[in-house]
Amino acid sequence: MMDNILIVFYIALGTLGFGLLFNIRGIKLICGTLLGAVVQIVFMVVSHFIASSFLVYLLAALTGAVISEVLAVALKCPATVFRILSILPLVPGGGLYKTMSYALSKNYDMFSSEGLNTLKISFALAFGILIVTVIVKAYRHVKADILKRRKLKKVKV
Amino acid sequence: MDKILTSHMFGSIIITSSGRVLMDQINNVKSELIVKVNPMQLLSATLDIGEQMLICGAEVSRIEDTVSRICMAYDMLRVDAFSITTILFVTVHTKDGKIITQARKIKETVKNYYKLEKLNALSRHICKNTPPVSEIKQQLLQIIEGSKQKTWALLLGHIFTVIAFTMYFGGKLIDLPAAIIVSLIIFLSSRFTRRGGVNRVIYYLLTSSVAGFISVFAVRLGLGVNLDKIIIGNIMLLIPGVAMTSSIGDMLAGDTITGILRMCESLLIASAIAGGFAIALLVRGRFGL
Repeated sequence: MMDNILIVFYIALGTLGFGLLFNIRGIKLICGTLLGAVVQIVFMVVSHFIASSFLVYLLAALTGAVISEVLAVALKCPATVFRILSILPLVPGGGLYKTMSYALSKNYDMFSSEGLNTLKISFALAFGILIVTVIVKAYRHVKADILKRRKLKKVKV
Repeated sequence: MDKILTSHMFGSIIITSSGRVLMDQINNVKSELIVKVNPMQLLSATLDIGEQMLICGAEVSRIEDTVSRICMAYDMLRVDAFSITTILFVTVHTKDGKIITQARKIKETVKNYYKLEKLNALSRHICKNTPPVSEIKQQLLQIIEGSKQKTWALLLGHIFTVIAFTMYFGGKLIDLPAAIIVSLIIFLSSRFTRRGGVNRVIYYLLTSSVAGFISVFAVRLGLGVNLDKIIIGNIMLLIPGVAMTSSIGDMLAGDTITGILRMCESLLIASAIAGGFAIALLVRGRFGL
């Protein structure tokens, strides 16, 4: 339990660090840091119940993307800012490095398995985000359409 | 503030200094029309906004969307915007039958989301109010000046990230001094090398090999114990993990070329980083440091 709390704390600190590197300021930085921690908690809880790592990463990214869309509307800034911070704890940076260092040391078995794993995680995260983005875009289109029709009706009357 | 520049056609139209055209009261037209912004100038200013967005790390689809929205707000007949990681093209068809194409090429991207927020707000303002081109240019300059990355924030960012990931990957408190020293080296090299337009792969190779050597020496001097944890903590600063994930996101969303370019770039950079640290570790093994 203590270990898990520490891990969430480290992830929050790392997200804060990356937020500073990406020049995010003020309340958005604080929200982003908390978002990173929340996504890590979701990831840890979900991975308790589901064995497939693809699904776990997908669900975590999905949660992060939903929260970041909400935050983006609430704080009036592009959702990208929060989306990047939300997937930061899960992004396979270490895996990417290990893949390349296996390739350099000619350990091709480990290279392919680590590489495929990295690719799988990236795909899961990208899918999670994409699902939310597509739904939000569709919603906005429908909303804009309805508004247009209402305006047209008013003009006719 | 508005000064009258010219009155035209028997005093029925007045052009003011802000580029707006007022119909004279004689004609009993109350509406204020925004006509006659120079489309070349407008397109250039719009592309400047797009270029800045590309530099500060926005997604390609967002840039294309923003540029076309701004142009459409100024009553263009048709707008075709196309962008990949370093290039942005736009063609517009104006109402008086002109077809104009302009392009921008950028050298490198530096993630700066504060700037992105401001640019987004600016583009919304433009679409709503359609201000004259001079105002757009002035506001853009203000944004570029006002959203520069602060040095202390960068420094703190490096230190926090390194502490977090060194501990996350199983390092101990004794490893932190070495990890922080190495992160400062990375900070300095990103501060001074990148300005000169050094090739990116070479930059990452050099930075990571220097970082590798310094972490080996730091462990030798007793500033840390677990060399591999110190190294992986610092690698998280350099490795393009987010770029890798967002490249797949780009491909899935339909921007295949951008996705492929970004993927290649991040794989190249990752192998440069792996190579740099491998050099340091090889030398350590050879000389028994």
